[in-house]
Amino acid sequence: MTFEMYQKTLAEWAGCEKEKAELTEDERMKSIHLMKASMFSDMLTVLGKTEISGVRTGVIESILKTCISKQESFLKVCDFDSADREREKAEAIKRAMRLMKEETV
Amino acid sequence: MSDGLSVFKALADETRLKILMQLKEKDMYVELLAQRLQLTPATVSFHLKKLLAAGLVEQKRDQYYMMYSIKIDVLTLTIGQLAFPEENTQTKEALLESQYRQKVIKSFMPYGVCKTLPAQVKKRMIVYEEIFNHFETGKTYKEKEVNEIIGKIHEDFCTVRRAFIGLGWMTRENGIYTVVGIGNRNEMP
Repeated sequence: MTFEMYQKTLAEWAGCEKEKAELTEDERMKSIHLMKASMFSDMLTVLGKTEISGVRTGVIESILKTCISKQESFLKVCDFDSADREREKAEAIKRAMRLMKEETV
Repeated sequence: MSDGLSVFKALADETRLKILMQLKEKDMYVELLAQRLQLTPATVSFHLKKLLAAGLVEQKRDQYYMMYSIKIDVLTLTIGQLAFPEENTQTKEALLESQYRQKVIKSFMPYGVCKTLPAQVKKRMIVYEEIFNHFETGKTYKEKEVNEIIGKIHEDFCTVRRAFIGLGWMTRENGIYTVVGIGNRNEMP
């Protein structure tokens, strides 16, 4: 997977999430879609660049672990909304990681 | 104290209103609310955070659960009180002022008699005002009458009488004193 291909796909995903955000009337889902759009267009693009080029590998995976750990912490304090956001973040990261490995996304 | 805007924003959602209606019945935890409203715990949690931020509900830990309860004191405020919070502040300030005034009167005028005038200007003005209330606005008094009225409250009637003139609360002409009123407040003479 070349970075250009990766970036193009992520831009498409970001656009798709923005569209979903516009279409939904649910306040919470809107903010989640916007969060994911922002992740695809900024954070995951930058992380993918360093990962694909081999400059700094393993960063994306450590962020994924942090998200999972945070999700558990939020569940302990009954903050289900924040826990669910962390789960959504983790899913987005996993999706980008699968794309990098050219697996089915 | 919740500010009006955040309260109105928090209330402008059907799900949040439903949550409040449930909480009005009894204190509940997220899962129970989710079950009752047929929503996901994450959705309920999201809306509860908004209600918490607006000060409409409060939370407390109860063993494994986070219990949420409605804050009735905020919900009983009128729309006017929420929309114009500065009026509440004014009322609060007036109340504090009144409490301070009562405290000064109690300290310097026990049983309606003032033995010593306060040295602090603000306190002395309160005592002067209290003494001045024994005069009728618009009425004229002879100097002897003025002295008698003041003398019943404070023995140094001359100082107080001169202060009333200096403050513009009374005018003097040919030994006759006319009560103008406290409305025309001047600075301390």
